[in-house]
Amino acid sequence: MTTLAIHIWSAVLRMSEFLRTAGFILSKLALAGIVLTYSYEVVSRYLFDTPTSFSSDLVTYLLCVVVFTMMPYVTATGSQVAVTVVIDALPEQHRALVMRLIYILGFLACAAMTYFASGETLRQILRNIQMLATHPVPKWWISVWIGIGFALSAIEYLRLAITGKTLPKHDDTTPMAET
Amino acid sequence: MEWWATLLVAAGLLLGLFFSGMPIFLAFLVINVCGVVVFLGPNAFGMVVNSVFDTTTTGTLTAIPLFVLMGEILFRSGSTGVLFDAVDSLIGRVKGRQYVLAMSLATVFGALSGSNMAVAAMMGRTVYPAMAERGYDSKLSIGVILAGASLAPIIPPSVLAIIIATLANASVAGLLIAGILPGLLIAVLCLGYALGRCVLNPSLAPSAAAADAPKNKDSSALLQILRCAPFLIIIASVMGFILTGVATPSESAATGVVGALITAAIFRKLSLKMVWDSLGQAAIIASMILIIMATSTMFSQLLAFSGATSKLASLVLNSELSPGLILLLMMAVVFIFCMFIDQVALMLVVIPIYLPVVEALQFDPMWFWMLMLLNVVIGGITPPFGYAMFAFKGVAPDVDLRVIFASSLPIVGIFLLAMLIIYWFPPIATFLPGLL
Repeated sequence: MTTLAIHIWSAVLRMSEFLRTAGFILSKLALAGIVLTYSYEVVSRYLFDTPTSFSSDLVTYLLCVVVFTMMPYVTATGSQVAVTVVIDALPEQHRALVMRLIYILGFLACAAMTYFASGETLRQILRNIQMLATHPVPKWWISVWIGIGFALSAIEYLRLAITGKTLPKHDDTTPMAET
Repeated sequence: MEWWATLLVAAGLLLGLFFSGMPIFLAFLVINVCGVVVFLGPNAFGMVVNSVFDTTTTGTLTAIPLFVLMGEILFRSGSTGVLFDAVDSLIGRVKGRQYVLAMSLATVFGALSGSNMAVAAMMGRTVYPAMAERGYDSKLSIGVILAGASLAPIIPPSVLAIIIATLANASVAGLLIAGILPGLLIAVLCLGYALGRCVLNPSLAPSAAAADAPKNKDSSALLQILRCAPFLIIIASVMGFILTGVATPSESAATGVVGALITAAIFRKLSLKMVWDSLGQAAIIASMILIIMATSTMFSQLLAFSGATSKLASLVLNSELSPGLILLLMMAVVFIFCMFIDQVALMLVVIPIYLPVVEALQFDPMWFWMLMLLNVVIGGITPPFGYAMFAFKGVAPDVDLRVIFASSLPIVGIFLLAMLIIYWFPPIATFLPGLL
């Protein structure tokens, strides 16, 4: 039974690692998409007097993708903004205990959000709810990323609660202020 | 439960979770999930998701990753080195020359980046060693650098201005542009302070002008200015486009990114790897900020449902306090809490509470929110947890943190003085937005 659980957990971790990496790349591409869409809109509108009908909606969809596909990476590397003044002053043993509690709460809260989001996405699919836009698209095409982001973050928090260790950041994502 | 008890419990729980070291977004999320499950029930589950959805699909917020991306491209490509040389060659041999250089550079960087941490780190790496080597006073040098770095979130592009304007339902373009004159005012005040202290105490800067000459003295000033011309593309495509109404702030941010790419290409510093890395960092910062904003929205909605927000506003408005005193109290709360709490998190909590008061007292929104922005920016340089100070410490590890703390105190005083000037003379904040 224990061996089976370990196998399942290892498979979940491998899958979440793959999805986290894919999300990291997709988030960058979505951001590049926002730059291209806005630039195309400005050029079309002011140089050719032909404003696009899709750019203002498309960029908002892409923003949602940028945020939630990057969320698991931000969670896994412990990059979320936090006020660590008190916890940094604690002895290492107590600090580790508090961090585990935070990770468990993180798992529970993100799991609850995954449940809420998947329910809402399912409702949108069943009722065929469309975005209020010039070119309507099914709302779940965008909202599904919220559920994915929170689900993968829940797995990351569970991993953190078990191992207690955040993943190292990619070298190329060190903020300028830290270099 | 009475509205005041709801407010106290919610605020107390939130602060408690913040100080426990829990990520800010998680603190909001835990309270939202508990609040919805306990008070609203399963029918409201969709509401939580929709509040997250609405925030992360807000068009004006696309400017946040774009402005970050613009700064990342400029700093990572090393194009800013050209600016350094140009500003250096333009400043003559005056007493306290390096103070003038630091403040001038910071003002220019402020127009290219919205991050006080990035500017503090870059100035700490490039300008501070030269100042220390030439015998400039350490405390005054650090103070000037921190002051300069703090201009970045005030002079557009500014991520903080976008967040404040979005939360306060104010004009994003207006608040961005409103930062230009206050930013310049603070630059002048800080420069006056540094040079004034040099006059009173000549030992704060080297006396031998020859030892303090420009690095590139062989290159003409005109040539250096011409080399900076590509940066005008960025400034024109951000501030110019917003001021002339050619593009929205988000579109201007995107054209600013294109301008930054062109600038890097002109200086032969453009590479796919640099662009790819910049995209990654900008997406990370956007994700961090927007998830906090998305989860805080539901918290504000829960407070509004409980009636706490409107009743607190009524209580303040029905009090005998004068508008000036109410303003002072509002600013004092922000000033004190910004010393200990992340600036974005604090804004997300207080702005929805302040908004009805600002509207009822008929404060000019550009004026009030600009005062708020300056107040929040001070949080970056107030001990004990100012981010900008830690960014500086990161690149100048030999400098004692106590020296950095002491250096920042006069600068905090100058920022407060600037707020007082803007309080007495609102057109400093309202004139440019009025032109839009």
